[in-house]
Amino acid sequence: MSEESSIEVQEIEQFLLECVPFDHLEEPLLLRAANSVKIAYHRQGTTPDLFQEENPKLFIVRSGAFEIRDQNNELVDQVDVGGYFGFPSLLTGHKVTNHCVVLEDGLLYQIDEATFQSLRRDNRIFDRFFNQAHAKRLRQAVRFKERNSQLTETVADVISRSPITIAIDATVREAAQKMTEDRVSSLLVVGDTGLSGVLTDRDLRSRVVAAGLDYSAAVSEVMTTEPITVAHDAMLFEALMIMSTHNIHHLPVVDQGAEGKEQIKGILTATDVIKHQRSEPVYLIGEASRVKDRAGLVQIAKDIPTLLRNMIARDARAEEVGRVVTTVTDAITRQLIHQAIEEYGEPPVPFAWLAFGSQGRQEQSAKSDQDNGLLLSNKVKPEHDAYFKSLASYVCDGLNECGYVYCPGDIMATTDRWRQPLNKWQECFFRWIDQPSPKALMHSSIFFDMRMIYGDEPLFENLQDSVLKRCQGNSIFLASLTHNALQLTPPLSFFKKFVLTRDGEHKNTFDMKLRGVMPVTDIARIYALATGCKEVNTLKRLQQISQGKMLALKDARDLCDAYEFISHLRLEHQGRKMAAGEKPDNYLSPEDVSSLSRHQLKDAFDVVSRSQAGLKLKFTRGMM
Amino acid sequence: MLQWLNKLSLGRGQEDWFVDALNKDFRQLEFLALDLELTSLDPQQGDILSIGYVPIIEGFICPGEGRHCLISEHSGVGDSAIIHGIRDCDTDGGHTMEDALAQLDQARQGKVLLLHHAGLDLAFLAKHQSEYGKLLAADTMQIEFQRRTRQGQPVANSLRLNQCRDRYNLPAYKAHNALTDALATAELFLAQMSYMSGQDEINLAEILRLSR
Repeated sequence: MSEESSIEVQEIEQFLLECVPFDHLEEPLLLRAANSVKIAYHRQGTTPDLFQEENPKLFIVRSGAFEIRDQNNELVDQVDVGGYFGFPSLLTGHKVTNHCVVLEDGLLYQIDEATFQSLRRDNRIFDRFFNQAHAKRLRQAVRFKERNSQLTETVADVISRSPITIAIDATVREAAQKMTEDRVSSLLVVGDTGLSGVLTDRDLRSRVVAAGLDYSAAVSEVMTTEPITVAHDAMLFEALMIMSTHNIHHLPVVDQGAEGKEQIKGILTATDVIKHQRSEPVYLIGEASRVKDRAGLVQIAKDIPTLLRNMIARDARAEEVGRVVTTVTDAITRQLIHQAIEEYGEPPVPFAWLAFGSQGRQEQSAKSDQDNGLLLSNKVKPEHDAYFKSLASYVCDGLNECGYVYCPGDIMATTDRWRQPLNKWQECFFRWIDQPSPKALMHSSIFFDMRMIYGDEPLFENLQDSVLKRCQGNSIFLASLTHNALQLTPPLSFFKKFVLTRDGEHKNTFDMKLRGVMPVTDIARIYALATGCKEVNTLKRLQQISQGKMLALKDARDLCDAYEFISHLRLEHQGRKMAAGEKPDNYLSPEDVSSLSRHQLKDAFDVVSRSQAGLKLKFTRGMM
Repeated sequence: MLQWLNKLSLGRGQEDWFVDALNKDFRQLEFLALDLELTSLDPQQGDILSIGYVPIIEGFICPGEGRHCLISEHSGVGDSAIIHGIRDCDTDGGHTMEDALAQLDQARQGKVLLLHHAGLDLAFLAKHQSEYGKLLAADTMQIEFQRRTRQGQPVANSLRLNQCRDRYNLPAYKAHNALTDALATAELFLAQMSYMSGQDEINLAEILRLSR
């Protein structure tokens, strides 16, 4: 061909030049590739028959988005512009069992096997690229099924051996022999009703040898009774949190069975955890529980943005990020309370420090305000108020210094209204519940996401139980909450007719918090209050509610996935902002979203919207 | 159907092929997507500067088998250079019209011509070879007009090649030459066919009916 040959397939060549590894091909090879391309158009929602056993091909997405699924319909890969598929069977010669689903209208280039193999033969980079892509695909397939980041590791992942137990009526000598035999530093003591206590090396030293106790004494005399336990599915950093809060080094691990029957799984020691991982969040939480002054905490809080950025970069699940960041906040809050008590003395009456809103739900990310309150025992006297006011000021000021700015709506323990004895808190909640006005509820809904950070457990349970009891069956209250929840709808027409925030600085964007995350949070809260669910974390609420009759398991799972997806997109966006040295915000513009994410986002919005419709049907029937 | 056949000027032995093709699905047929660059939009005054074409074989565009012929015989590009970017000197080493038409004749054997706004380009070709004046061709612009009219959509100012492509999520092409536009037309055609046929067949008779 003449001088015109370079023009012949200009568009194809130019596109291939934008795709690694085609950009590494020498000119004649690139032309060979471009000349071999065949183009087909595929319409959204179809499942074109692309994979022919006799005739494997490399597919390159020129426009649109495609999904590859295996014979069990499990997701293998999702690709959009510039992405490839079909290469594994070209590399391995194995039979293709996958199929393709078109997510978004688009053009597919295909390159035949002979050309593909000749390019591999003639260019090493091309060959290496597809071999690596194949290896990555294999790893990804595992990841899609079961993520295994450091942060997801649970207590069960760390405890390897079956529990070493001893009967409660055994002697101290027998216990010591068993510990030597099994080379362990602690034993779980088991009675008729299950776990009765823990016996450690240290107990033998201080309570037996040092105390001159007879070695034939019963284990029950020297063990630690009613030990603090951890659930086997708790995350590792949560276990560490418990250890450092209570200053203990041995944690029995239990499985809270479906019927509420505890099963002993083993024991977790501080050494286990430290040996197992030294990742930053764990370190940060440990540090926060150790430092003795406010300045030290401020220093630790400065590392939170880095922690957040690292977790986003590691592609951690949004749920994990929320739990980790909130756990750091909790640790800082607790340490501030400890410091305040050291400063002002022991509290005159029992109290509980409450967190509301995102801290309550364990869903903090970048830039969270503080929302907290103080719950006091009914025994509190007017002269005690000075003490609690000082404590509240110390903690709230400390939090503010650490970057959790004062709540603009004054929902803080320093506000008199939010530092009250139990009966006043109950009055307040009962007023919201019994005489609900949508406007009042708009500002008070975050109070229903309350969690105790520090203090007297029975006091808090008393409040929580009475509130949950009052909510159940109160149809007017639930209808009012639902009315509010339905005011924020996801922008369903994300694709073409994107309904966007139209004014001001964030023109043509969509507020991921207000119209993505909040609607799900609202839905979970309403179901939780309607069913007396004690959980406050959105995903945990949905999981627990799905056990009952009110929300179908599939709907709950879809909603959990949608929530995770939207939250993750929001985190990614905030990560990008932080990496660019900008202030993290919640405003996403359409061009920030790849066509693949756009498709998933649309699915997520659909799920949220359907759930809102279900909510309306269940709680407002005949009222709105 | 027969009245169209009367309009056709087919070579000897080609009638049978065409009658047979009318009942075949587009995925069983071959098309030749064609585009011309012109010095004017008036067939009486303008000349053809270049001819670009890309075959579609059984539902797949084969850009590697496309051609781009610059024509050396013309009376100057004039102001039209602004649109297509072809300068007089670019066509100096080009083909004679006779040569280019012979190549096109060769390329369209056994294929149905496919154009965006077929009337204009065919009128230019007919100046040199009268059979183009009577030729039936598939026309993506007419197909789009029929589809949008049927759907009750406005058609004014919405039928340019790039406007049509945008509606099918087809990528925007920067370069404008006869070959790129022929490729763009071929892609638009497959998109339209995909939307019209679904899993069903769509035969040539239907395509030509919509192209009128």
